[in-house]
Amino acid sequence: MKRIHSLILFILIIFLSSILVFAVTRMMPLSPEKMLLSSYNLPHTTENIAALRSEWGLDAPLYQQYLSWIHGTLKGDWGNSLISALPIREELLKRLPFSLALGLGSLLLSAFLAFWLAYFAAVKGGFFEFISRSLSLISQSVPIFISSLAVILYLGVKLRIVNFYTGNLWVSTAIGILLLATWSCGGLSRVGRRHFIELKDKTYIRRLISNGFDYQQIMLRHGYKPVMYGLSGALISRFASILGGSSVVEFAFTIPGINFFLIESIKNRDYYVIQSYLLIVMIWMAVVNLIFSGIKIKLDTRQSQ
Amino acid sequence: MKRKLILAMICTLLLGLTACSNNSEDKKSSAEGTTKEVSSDVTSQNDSESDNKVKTPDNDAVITVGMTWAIKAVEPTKGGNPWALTSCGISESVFRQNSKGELVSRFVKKLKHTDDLTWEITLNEDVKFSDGSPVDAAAFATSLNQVMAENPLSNATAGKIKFTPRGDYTVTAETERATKVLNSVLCEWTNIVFKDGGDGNYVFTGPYVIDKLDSGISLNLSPNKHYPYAEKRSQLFLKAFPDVSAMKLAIESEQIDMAFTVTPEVAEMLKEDGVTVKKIDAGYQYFAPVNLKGILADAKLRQAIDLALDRNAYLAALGSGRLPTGTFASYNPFAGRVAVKTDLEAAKKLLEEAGYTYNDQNKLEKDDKAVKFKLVTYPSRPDLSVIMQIMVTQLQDLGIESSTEIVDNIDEELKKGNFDIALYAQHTSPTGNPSFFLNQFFRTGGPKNMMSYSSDDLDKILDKMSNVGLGQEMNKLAVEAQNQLQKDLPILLLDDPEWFIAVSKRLENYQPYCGDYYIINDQLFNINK
Repeated sequence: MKRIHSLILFILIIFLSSILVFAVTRMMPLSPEKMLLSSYNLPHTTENIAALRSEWGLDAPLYQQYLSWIHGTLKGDWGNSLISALPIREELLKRLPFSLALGLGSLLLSAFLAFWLAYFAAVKGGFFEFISRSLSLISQSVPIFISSLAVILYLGVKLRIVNFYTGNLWVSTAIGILLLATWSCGGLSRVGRRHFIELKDKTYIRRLISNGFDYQQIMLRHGYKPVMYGLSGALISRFASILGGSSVVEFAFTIPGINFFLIESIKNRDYYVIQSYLLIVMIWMAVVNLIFSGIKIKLDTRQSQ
Repeated sequence: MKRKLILAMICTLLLGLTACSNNSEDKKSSAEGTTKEVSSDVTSQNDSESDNKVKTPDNDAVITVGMTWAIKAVEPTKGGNPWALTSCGISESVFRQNSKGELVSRFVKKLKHTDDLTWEITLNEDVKFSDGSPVDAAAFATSLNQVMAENPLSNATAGKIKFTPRGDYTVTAETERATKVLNSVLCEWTNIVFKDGGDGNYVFTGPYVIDKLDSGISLNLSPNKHYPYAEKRSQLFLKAFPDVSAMKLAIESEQIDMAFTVTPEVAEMLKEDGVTVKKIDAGYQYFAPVNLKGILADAKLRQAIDLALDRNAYLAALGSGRLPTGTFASYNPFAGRVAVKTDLEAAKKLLEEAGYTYNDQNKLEKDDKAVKFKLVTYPSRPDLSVIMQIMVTQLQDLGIESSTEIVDNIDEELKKGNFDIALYAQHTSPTGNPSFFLNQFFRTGGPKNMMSYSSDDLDKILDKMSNVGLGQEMNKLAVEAQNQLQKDLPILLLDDPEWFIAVSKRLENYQPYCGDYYIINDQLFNINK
């Protein structure tokens, strides 16, 4: 019964999100037909505007446009781009691997690095504490865009060992992942370190230490669950920016991800592309929350006890 | 634990080194790489073009061009596709502008106006599609009738035009609305010649054919072997750079041969680094429409402002451009002959004559009321914001305080009349016809006459222009119209801009023109080896 309730709630959220997405897109200043006419120096005459609206199906009442869009989306047809007339689903799916690799790859790698950095910073301090603090400070003070350009300047222009713009795209993507992961692991490692430090005062840890067990091993074997629980909480919010958060790296390395396509579509007010993208992000976040609530239940030591 | 840590570090280091070494190989073969994979994923051109590979002496040396956008699709009647296809050298409109602003055509030998709505078009017999088939009367008419039927924007000037083949190389064109300038109408970006092979296969006539299209990302092109000088042309790789900093790094690292276009600041930095930076005529014009329903209805005040503006300051700030001589770029045969001048003292004298006074804070007043302006512009042309800031200072020298606003929808704002001076950019002659722009902006009640300007004298000149074809008479009338505009000042001329492009050594001789209308033009065979 609880599961059915959750499922109904999930569907309701997606439905309301779709209405919100549709409304927000249509409230954008400037319409696509005016953008197109302006960009080609054509007059905004009633005839020109009407002809384009009719061609794009924008002359129908809004509720009909919404129903037509949501009906198509449910059937797997996300419509065609207003500007290029290409099918949106294919265009987005073609670009998704690059954005997902950048966003998800860097997030998972940063979580992995942050866990170990947090562990060593908490139990050993010294050099690891210095690295953790430095990365956290640098990521907060130097924008990722600047660091991306610095990496390209050094490796691509000065040393010329990496061909970022006409070489293999996956090499640029791998370097982008490393860069994004390094930038976010600093902050995450501080979260993890705080959880490790808090563990020291827990009764069961103190008892194991007093029984003569190795402190470093205890922290890892018996402390990883609460720390990962804490890191999961910090990670959830970052999942929202997986697709969009890597946009600056995509731009700097000219990686043809989803943001490459989206920015151009926003510029042209390509309603159907923007709607589809926003809906994907909302569904993505709903699914992430669902998955993480399951993971957190598994990791929650209070519940398992 | 220490051992595991060291092992992890070594693995990471090895991974990094492998990535770099793989990439050095990529670098060595990057030129060939693009050539090798080109035919693997051709999306929309006819399969018969796969044999359209010209053995060129430079096949190994792919020319790579960085642009701020890339073609998304090839459907020639959809959205802005025809414009993009022509700009990238794949398709051709029936007429096009040459670098002197004249209209020329590879297709049309003779154009004869038989009555108000009918034209007889005689075609050249040696023009071919990229698959080798001739562009005869039937193919020409089919192509343009499809454009007229499927692209509503192609009907904007002369209505829907019906093309009927009358012989092997003779076509009749019947327009819905009378026009004296069919060559200019056929120069509009919508009117390209193509052959629809069905199933999304299209064949064009431009100097290059598509090998591989990665929608909105990159484009591989080969020379069209049925276009003049095909054997001298190289393969092209066009890549989108949405960020100008990335494009700067790409040209610095010699990964691209041309960066189209770069900002004045980036151009300056590239010059310092020894990269060749060239200027191209933008074709676009920067000007300032004034609201004739507000305080600037006073002709003397407009004249004073015109005298107070120092255009050289705009050119210095932008690092390029020419003093404006009218509403058209200087390369056009119908460019104006206006000489803008700056004379602050003369401007102040004019204001005194018109009854304006200065208060004790040296602010301009009329009838004890301070003169204040609202300046408006829009973000998509960043040069305009730079000019606006300088203009504010120049108006201050005249004792006028100004507020500034940057709006998204400039046309809507101007229609509301909520401005005194607007800063605007427009390509004023993309089809080699001066009357289109002048009618749009300055005819009484014209669709873009946001100044509320009305002049019987100018309307008479425009009437005369609508009765002549392109040529000397039209050019003379266009100059006359521009003189009239400078007399009435419904707009203030600001800048005849130039854009910056950065090129590698081998493209030093190549010169794009007409702004971004012909980025890849037919002259791209004349390169340094």
